[in-house]
Amino acid sequence: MQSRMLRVNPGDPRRKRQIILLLSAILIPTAVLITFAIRLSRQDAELAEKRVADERRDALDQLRRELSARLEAIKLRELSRLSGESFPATAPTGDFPVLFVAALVQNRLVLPWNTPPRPETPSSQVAQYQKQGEEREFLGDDFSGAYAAYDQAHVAGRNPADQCAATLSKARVLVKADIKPEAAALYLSMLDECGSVQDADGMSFGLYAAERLISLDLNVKPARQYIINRVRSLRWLPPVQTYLMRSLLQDATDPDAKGASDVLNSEIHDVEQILALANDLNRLGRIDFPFHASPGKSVWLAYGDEPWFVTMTSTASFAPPVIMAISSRKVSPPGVTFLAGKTEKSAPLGEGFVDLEVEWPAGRFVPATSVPRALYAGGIGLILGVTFLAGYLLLRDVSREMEVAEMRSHFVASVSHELKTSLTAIRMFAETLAMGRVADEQTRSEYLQTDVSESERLSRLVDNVLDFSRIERGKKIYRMQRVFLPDIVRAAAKAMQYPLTQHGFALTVSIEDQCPSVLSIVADADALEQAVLNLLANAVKYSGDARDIDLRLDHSDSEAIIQVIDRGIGIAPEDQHRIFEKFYRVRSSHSERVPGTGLGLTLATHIVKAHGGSLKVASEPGRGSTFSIILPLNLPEAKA
Amino acid sequence: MSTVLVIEDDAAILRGLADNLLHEGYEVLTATTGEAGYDLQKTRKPDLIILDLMLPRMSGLELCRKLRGEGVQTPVLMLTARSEESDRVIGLDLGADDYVTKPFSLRELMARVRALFAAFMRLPNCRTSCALAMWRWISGATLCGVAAGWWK
Repeated sequence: MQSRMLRVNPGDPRRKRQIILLLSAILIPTAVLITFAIRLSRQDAELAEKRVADERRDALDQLRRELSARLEAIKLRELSRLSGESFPATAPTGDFPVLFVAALVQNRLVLPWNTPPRPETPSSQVAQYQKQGEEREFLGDDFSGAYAAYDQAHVAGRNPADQCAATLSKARVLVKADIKPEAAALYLSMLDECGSVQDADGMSFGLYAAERLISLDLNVKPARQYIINRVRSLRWLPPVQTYLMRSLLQDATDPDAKGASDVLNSEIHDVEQILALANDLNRLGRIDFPFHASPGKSVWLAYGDEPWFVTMTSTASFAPPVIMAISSRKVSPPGVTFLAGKTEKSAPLGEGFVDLEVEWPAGRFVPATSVPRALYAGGIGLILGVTFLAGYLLLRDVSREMEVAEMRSHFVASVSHELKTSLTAIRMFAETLAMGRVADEQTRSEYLQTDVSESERLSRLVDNVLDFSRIERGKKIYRMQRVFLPDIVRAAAKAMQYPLTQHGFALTVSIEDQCPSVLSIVADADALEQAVLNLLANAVKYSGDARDIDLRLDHSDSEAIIQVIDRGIGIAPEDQHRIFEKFYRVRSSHSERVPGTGLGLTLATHIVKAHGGSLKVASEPGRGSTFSIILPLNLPEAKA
Repeated sequence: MSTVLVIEDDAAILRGLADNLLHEGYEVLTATTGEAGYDLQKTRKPDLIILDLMLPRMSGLELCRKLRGEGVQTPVLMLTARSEESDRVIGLDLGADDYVTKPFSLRELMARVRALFAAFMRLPNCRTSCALAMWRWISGATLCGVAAGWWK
């Protein structure tokens, strides 16, 4: 008789409470947690970045100190080496880091290859022979005459330059006269004799001879070898010679020539850089030249690509200033790149160095957080998981609690309603009888029978409620005695007989006539009967339009089964496990409302379990339900 | 002879009520569901309805609201197991004329049935009686006003 009035609207307050709970138990802690975690990890990242910046600064400081000390040492050693010698002087080749030391004369850089001074002009006699030879050679095509004139010039020549020039001319005439072996022999002799002799342009006569040998395809090999040796042994040759040597070695393929070519290329690079520096001397003005500075306070200018450290110094007090250049390639520590200009990744080296920028190798300063980010994420994930799990459990428990509370309030309402209904009937019939309104005997007996039946219903109800409260308090006591199971089933059937027939039900009781004595078990007869009655009462309530109920007692060797079978509305699968919960009542799909307290099955389950048995349900919506009480036979004594 | 429609789902109570009303001399119609009761009201036009609140499918309150919504003026006596004041107020607001809580005294119920009949015999049409009361009140007030003005 659960009515619309009784049904508490399961909507708003509960939902609201759930939402508040969800917020306070899950969302807010989660949000706080995430905020904290983000802040923490951000702080950590900032710290790491700061640490990296510190590290970078420290490394820079250290690099500056080391470089400074190293350059200073090199400078002092070079100066002391040079103090005895005259300027300009070139450093030994090889791994020595000093590229050149050049004097600064009248604000002009004395280039390292400016020596020796221009050769003296040839004597008039030599010039005359030379001129004679040229006339014969170019105007008269008189090669033998020309050769003789050049030979005279050679003999008359008083300096190596004149002699080498005459020899070169002689060889040229021989080539023109197609006497090549003789010419080649002359050129070869020149390689040895005129190697260090230069003409007015600063070009070596030896190189002239080598060039002729290579271009005329006479004795190419010794000529090339001569160039390679020259490259290896000499440094700071005048640029004309360097360029010529490079072009002469261009077609060579052997490794020696390649190596010499590379040396030449780098030398040309240096040469060009020196020339650029010489034209750009005002940049040196940026070096605050410390004439009287104590050693160790030099200022170094970075210059060029693959920069040089250029500084201005002097060999002694009051000596003219010199420019010293040191190759960065030879002094830079491994992994560090020096640059003479700013790039995106570079940092200025700072104090004592002008224009010098440092590029660290990639990956040198990686911000390493103290706690790995993955650990953070894992921790947060774990905590979140736990929070969500806890929140979910809490929410589930609370909502179940609230459901139980709601069901409990339904229960109270249903119980009072059931009580009042039975009382109303009893009182009404009693009053009717008391007023003497019933004349015929049959009606009177019917009234009385109804009163008895209603009273029984009432006491069943009260029993159920009291038993339930005992079970809730853990005070339910079963009085176990040896009883005969068929008797209990028959008693239950009999108790329900009148109300069943009144409602038009047909109860079919099937019990074997000759029940074996194994069905005599130790049990609480009243309790078992109550369980069966509860099942029967449910069968009546949920029969819908069906009017057939079966009550069966079967047994096997080890257990007895009491079945109550109806053909009523059945139970949906999702409800089948919940119907045994206290107060739980199926919300029927068709708005058929069935009276009841939601205790019957709870009590039946408890009773059956107390007897060591189990209560099972098999049901199909629309086809009816079968409840089975399964009791073990040969049960040991005493069970409470 | 007056006809009473009893709508009650508990078979025992229904039978007791029917027997007693018959004994009092009324013609009795019975129904165990709201729908059946509604149909009987439509077809038999009873003079009084005794209505249980807690009925399967359509509850007594719904039935009452429906009947009043359709302009049915038949007096309705509600029976219910609930006795809180708010429930009674809801019942009366929905158009019930009287309210009896279970378990009730049989004599009292019969007396209330008689009283309802008597009241509705005296006032066959509520609307005219209301208009009359209104007219009396307005004319009385006007007279009072005139008298007060004259006195001043």
